[in-house]
Amino acid sequence: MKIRDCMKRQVYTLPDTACVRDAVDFVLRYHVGMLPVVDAEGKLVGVVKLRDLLELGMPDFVSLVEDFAFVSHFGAGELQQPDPADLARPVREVMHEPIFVEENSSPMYAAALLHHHAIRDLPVVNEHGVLIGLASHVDIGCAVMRAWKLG
Amino acid sequence: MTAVWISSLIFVVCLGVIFSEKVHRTIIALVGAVVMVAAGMIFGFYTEEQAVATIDFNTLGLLLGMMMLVALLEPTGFFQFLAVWVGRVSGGRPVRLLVLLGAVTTLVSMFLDNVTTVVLIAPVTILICEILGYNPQPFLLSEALLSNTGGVATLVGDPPNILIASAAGFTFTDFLVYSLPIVLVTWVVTLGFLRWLFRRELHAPGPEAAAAVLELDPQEAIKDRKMVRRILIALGLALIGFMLEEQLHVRPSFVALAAAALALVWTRPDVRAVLNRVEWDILLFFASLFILVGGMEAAGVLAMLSQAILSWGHLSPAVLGLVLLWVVAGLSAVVDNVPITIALIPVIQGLGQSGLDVGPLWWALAFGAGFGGNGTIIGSTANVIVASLSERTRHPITPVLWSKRGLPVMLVACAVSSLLYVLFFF
Repeated sequence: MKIRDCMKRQVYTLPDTACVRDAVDFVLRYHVGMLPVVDAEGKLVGVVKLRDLLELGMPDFVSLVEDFAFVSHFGAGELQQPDPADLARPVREVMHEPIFVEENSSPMYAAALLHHHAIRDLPVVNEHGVLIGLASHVDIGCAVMRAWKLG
Repeated sequence: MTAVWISSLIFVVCLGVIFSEKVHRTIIALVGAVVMVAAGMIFGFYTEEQAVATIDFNTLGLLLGMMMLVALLEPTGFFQFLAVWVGRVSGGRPVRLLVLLGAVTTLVSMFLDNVTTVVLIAPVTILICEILGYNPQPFLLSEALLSNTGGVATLVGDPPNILIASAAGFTFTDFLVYSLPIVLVTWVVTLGFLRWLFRRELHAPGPEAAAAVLELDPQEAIKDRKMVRRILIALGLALIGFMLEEQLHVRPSFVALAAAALALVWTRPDVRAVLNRVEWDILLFFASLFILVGGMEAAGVLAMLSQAILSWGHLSPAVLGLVLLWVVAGLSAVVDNVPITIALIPVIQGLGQSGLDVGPLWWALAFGAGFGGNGTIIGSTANVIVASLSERTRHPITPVLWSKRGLPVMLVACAVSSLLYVLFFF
């Protein structure tokens, strides 16, 4: 079994000319947690994570204190809004180097990648680097477990 | 004469590189110490034995002991507890919060390492401010400025104090008698001045935000109650030991190391984890500076400086003290105050040997080194820490902001302490 046999073929992609505000719209419209960014030829150039977008509107202390068990309500922090300047930034500036697999990779290899990088979704590309699908940790996990001899 | 020039050149170049912040100060000091000893051996003004003898092990032992106690206390959540508790007690009222956070940071850093205190209290300060919808800048700036100011009050509050006490033979009680009253007045004036400087930023919170602050639960911040209790008892014993230094015929380093030993044997932590939190770079920095400055002393530079000061003619001791206070303050604002202090100690000792009453000069050195650190964003480690933490928030503290808020505070603190200094010592 290859990764292309368990991936989703319908992938919503973000053009590399988009800005962060577009990325937020994209998440709201398609209800997805990971956005592959592609260039004009459909090649995968980066990924934007829901987590990075959320951080824009998260209180600053979240990344500064070790834990906040002593807080039960964030008060004014609940209403934190992202900075308009951040929303206007091009996604090219905020996206990450993509972690991806080639369509002929095995599900086990893909599962190891997810595990190693602590991520949940893996873009799949063809031999030319063009994005052709997306495999979630459930897709990959099920593909691996199907090969188990459960007795 | 060659020795004088060479040793001075090595020291000045080291200070210059420390100032440029291109290389870590500990690396520069270590390289400087090695070069100084090598030059001393080549030109015959300094030997390896002399170099080792310059290291003040009383200072290093005291620092190490206190660092181990802080390293034990750090992961318990005690510092966070204090900040959260103060936040709750303030009820979110801005001036009260500013005063209480400033007071707690000062009080803790009078006895414990200033840096650790600020590192642990500043993030909780940002948290409380965000819950209240405040800009954290006034609170962070005040914490750094007030803890720098308050640290001057005690022997263990500030590294220059430890150095001065060790060289001049001052006890913990001497600091409580001679420094604490002056620092207390200066601190209160500083606080009032900060309140005025930030008058536009300090406004009342919304009702929901104030309610959220009252829901903070300080007890939740403490991870290990038993551990906190034991370490605080060891710390309390250390403070009593410091005060009974003369009666017990022990030096502060013995007291600090004894308290650390007690705390370690009583709590039996993972000793490697504790020692990893000890700031070895600072201890190495101090040891290297002793050797570096010792070279200048052996070459006769510092004796020449003392002679030069004496040859100015009959300066009134009060004027000499004030000049020292302001010069040291100015220098401490731009370079680390530790090398300045270590270099000036032999100069003052030289003046003392020629019959001058140097008692008040030691205090001028302490006040200058302590209050001068408020002047710039790089003036003290606490300043650097709050500034770099604030850079990770929506309200970064910039050097320009510091020059508008911190520099006036330094000038006011130096002016007030100058006045009190003259009244108190002359």
